[in-house]
Amino acid sequence: VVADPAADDPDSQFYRDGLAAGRLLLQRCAACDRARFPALVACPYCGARDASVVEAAGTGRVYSWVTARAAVTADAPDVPYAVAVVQLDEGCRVLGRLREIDDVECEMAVRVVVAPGRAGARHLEFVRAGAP
Amino acid sequence: MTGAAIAGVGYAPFTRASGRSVLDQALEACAAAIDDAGLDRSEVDGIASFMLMHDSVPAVAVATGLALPQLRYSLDAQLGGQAPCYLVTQAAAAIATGQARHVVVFRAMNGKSGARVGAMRFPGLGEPYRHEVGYDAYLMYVAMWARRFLFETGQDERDLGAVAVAQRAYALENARAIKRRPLDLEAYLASTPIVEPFRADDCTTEVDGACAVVVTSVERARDLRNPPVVVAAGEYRAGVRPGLDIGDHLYWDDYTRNYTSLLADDLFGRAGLGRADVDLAEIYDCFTSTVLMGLEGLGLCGRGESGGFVHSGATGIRGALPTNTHGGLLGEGYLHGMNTVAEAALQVSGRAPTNQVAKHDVCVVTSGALMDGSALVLTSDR
Repeated sequence: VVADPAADDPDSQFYRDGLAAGRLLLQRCAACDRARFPALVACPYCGARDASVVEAAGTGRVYSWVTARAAVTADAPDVPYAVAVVQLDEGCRVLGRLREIDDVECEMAVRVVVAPGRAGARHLEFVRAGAP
Repeated sequence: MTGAAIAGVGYAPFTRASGRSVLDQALEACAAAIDDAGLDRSEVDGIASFMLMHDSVPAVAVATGLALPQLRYSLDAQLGGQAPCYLVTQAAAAIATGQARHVVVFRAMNGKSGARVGAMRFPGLGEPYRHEVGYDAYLMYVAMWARRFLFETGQDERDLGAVAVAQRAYALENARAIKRRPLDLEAYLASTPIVEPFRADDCTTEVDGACAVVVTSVERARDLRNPPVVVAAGEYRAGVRPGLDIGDHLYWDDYTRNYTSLLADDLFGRAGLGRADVDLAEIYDCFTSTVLMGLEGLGLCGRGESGGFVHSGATGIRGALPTNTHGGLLGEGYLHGMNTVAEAALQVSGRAPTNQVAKHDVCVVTSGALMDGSALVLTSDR
């Protein structure tokens, strides 16, 4: 039995609520104005605790990505699939699935979509900018 | 760091299915290291180890099983591959401050037949974001960094392959190594894709087993069986915004530079040595990319030059900088970097059973892959 510090974490409840409503929500620091992600009770850039919750514009660029060709975890999803770290135009980074896994490049422009994910939950997907 | 040395090294066999308890293997490796040093067990008064998700046994269990009269120093770290050099540094500090005289540092695990680090979900505040998109394995995180590293430094999969090939050459000679099949670049490129950009041969081989070293004062080590391996410097570093847990790197700015870039100047400065003084390197290699990043981060070659450096043969046994002379975690097996420190100690003392390099007075060792990690400079007793 291992304690799970993320279970029902109050500091990230806004993110989960946003996702359930189809929105990607970030925090913006009241002191230094930096957007941040993942949810954090204090600003990792300046340490201030006051922040507002803002909706992301949903645009960014692929910072890096990986393509899983083999199942490497016990409950791995069906392979192949690709996961990217996307740098949002707000300046912070998010993790999500690439909807298309071929012809991906670092710095490729994408938009963010909230899509159905595992076990009835929703997750972030990235679609090449300009694609339908 | 003044005055500490590694005096002995011990192992329990590396296998794919030990059929033994972790404690059984831990006791074997620790006892072997103590015997190798030429110490009586009753003189050991410190134990330090590390584990992830309770995959090992605590120091007190080993003290109990070795029938030690007492522990004056005990440390159970909840850490991964960052730990080995860090724990040796902590042991050296304990000795320097008089907390203990002889500290055994070990790692033991049924890492293949039991809890596999490579397939562990790490609970933490960053875990839900990873799990929801199937980003749940440590190899995926390192692969993510590797992709960006190759992109920014103008290198490619052949540079990863060069590491796999160079280290396999060492593994072929190492009786302890799990991977003993010859490998060339062509075979590497044909090997199974796992999580791109990684193929099977970019990944460490998980094993069951145990490994231990004994740390004591240099003065004491001089009276023991082996040439002292002096801990000339030890450094740990976590950079700014190291994240919310072991797998969270969303707050880390630069996936092309890991902790090695951050600690290198202090490490060599404290050792009073320069990069040109280094005879060999043992660089943490859960995956091939961390060797390239480590060579560049430590300043042992230039930015973007690590692949070419390895291709040139520089890291081979007759090269300018023999590197991962046991075959690395890629070839010898994933004893979580404890075996990387042990190999360094054997090399510096001139006692490596195979692949002993000709010039072995100064060795740099690293532990860890991404946001945080540790390193040692080990030297002969000069």
